[in-house]
Amino acid sequence: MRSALYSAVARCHARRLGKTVATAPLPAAIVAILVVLAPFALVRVGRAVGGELSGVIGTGGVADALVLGPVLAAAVAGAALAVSLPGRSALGQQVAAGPSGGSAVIVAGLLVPVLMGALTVLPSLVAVCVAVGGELPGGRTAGVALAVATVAAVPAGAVLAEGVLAAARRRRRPAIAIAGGAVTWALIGLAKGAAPLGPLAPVGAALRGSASAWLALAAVCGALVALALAWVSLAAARPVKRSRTARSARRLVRGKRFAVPAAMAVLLTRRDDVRFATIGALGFGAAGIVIAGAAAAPAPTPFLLATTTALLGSILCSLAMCGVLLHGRWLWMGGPGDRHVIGRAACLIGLAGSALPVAVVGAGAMVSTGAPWGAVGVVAGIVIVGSATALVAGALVPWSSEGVGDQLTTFAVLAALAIATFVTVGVVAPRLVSFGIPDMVVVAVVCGTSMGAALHALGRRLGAAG
Amino acid sequence: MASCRPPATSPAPLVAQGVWKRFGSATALAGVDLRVGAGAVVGLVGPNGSGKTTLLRAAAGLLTIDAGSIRVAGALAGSRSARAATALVPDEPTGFDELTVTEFVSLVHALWAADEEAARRAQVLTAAFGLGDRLQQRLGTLSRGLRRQASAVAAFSLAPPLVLVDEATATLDPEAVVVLSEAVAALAARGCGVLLATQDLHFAGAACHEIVLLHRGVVIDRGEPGALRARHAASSLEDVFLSALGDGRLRERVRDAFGAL
Repeated sequence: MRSALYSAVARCHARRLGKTVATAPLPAAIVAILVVLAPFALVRVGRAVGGELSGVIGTGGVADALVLGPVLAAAVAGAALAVSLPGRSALGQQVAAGPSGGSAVIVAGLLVPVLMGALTVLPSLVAVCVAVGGELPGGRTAGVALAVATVAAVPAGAVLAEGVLAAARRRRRPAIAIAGGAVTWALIGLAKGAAPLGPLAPVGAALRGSASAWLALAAVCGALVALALAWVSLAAARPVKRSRTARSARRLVRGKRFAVPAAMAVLLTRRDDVRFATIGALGFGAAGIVIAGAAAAPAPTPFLLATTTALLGSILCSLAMCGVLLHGRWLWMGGPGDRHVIGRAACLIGLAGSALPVAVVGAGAMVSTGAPWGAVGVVAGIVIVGSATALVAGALVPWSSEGVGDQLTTFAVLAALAIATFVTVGVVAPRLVSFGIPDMVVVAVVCGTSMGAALHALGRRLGAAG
Repeated sequence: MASCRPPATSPAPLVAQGVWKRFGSATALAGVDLRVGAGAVVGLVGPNGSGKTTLLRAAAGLLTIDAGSIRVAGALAGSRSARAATALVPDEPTGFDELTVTEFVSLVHALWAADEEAARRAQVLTAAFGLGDRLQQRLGTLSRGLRRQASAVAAFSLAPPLVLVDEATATLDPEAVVVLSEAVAALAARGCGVLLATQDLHFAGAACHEIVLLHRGVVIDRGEPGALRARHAASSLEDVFLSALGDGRLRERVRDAFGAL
């Protein structure tokens, strides 16, 4: 029975992706090529980073900070994944009413997106981590352990999100159990010298060369399996959403001039998944400030760590935008207004939704630890390009709550596009600067091109869907 | 209710000529001709998959046709002026679950740049459908029938030259069906053209001036309800429907088949 469910869901995913590729074969081919080439480019990046760090890896908390950055980012991604993981209802009422177990439903929803995410992200992640490790005393095995630790942080973030969901749905037992797990995590980390890293702490020591890399690898592999199993079982037993019957709301959409952007903002911000992701972005961003501050990391490290971590959660606003619009396409496209205005408003709202939590966290980091204005500009550029990439990913595989695992596939496409964008910008931008074009102009061109692509993708999807 | 009574010389709300639409190898519409005059209520009736919704979506400019032409108030369907002259009540008004009823109506009015008169009409329609105490509720918390009523309030209050209603009575309670029928009649009396797709033959017989029978994308018969009954020597529109599809003995046939179950 399980295999029938898995294969049916996998077939739905495969056909959906096939349709997406058929709709935009050229962009799909370009992204595929860039994803294949990315690991090679990232090996060079990793070697450069590793070379820079090799002299200071043994001092202070540098090794732990090297682990903490990707782990925190992966935890945010995991939390966002958990929030968007559709439950049994995504199978459709008829199949959902069937006798499939809770874990089977979760695994069916996760199977293809996780496989696709692994295919697109894992080679790049392993390439960069192994290259970094190769330049450090711990060697390549420690680099592999760093990659596995980053992967393990995904279910760790998801488990945390399950705890928040349980608390929000007034289920004390799982919430308390997860809180207890978090305390245990911190105690294990404390015993190993890095409380926030918990059982992943041996990786820092392995990178420094002060502990066995193989033991660290074994520890993080064990943590990965345990966390993944914990997440699946928690997600399978997730309490049902509380009824929203007779819920009233303050009237925010009024007047004529701003009714369209106001309606889009309301449609986004009243969604539970966007709300949880935004809260998560703020929470993890604040945690980034505290952890970086506690480790006495020099400015602008806390600012950069906090803002980029927050962006990983808040990017859901941009990612979900096209799906939200497409669901009500009959009205947006049926209206007599300029259809491009709808696309422009959607881009603006998606960008604002992604930028706002980053701005809040960034302001906090600026006040507490300080950061130069140049770093603010860098983060602003990352937010614009990241939001545009998410808008394009959401247009290619629209965010939908109708099919099992649909949102996760959107995430997987975002990961592929983000890698492709990173590689392209990394290759093109330095060359433009070397031609004597001012940095600001290059940044403006990159941001403008990204938003232009997002506008085009959004308009094409809204206009083309039939 | 509406203020859309057009001058005698203005073009018909909807004129479709030789409309073809294919989805891959499946033909949804095969040379459909249809006219909805000002003040007329036309009912599209046909089996599931006969092309009713496709025709409505094409008229609303939500999909492009492969051949033929559809003009709404003289403008090509899908153009801005055609969309301004059309209001659609879809089968399932999805995508706005997070908006309240009031916010949704406000959004529709903003998109169509509706005047104050539309707001007044929306109040009248809201009261008629009994939605007055649900105005601050989100659409996602309403039943499907209530969501469709909210959608009808928003669309009808615009009172444009052409009103399209998909699956007109689906999920509506008997009270709402009566209100819908009266609202459609009031729109027609004001000069709006109404094209509705329905499987409710009793409602179609009572509310429509003309019924168009669609089967596999082809118009197989059309006329006033009384004239159709007379032409097919049928006592009800259900019998007209089965006769037009060439399946007048459907009941007996399936009864025999089910005897073997």
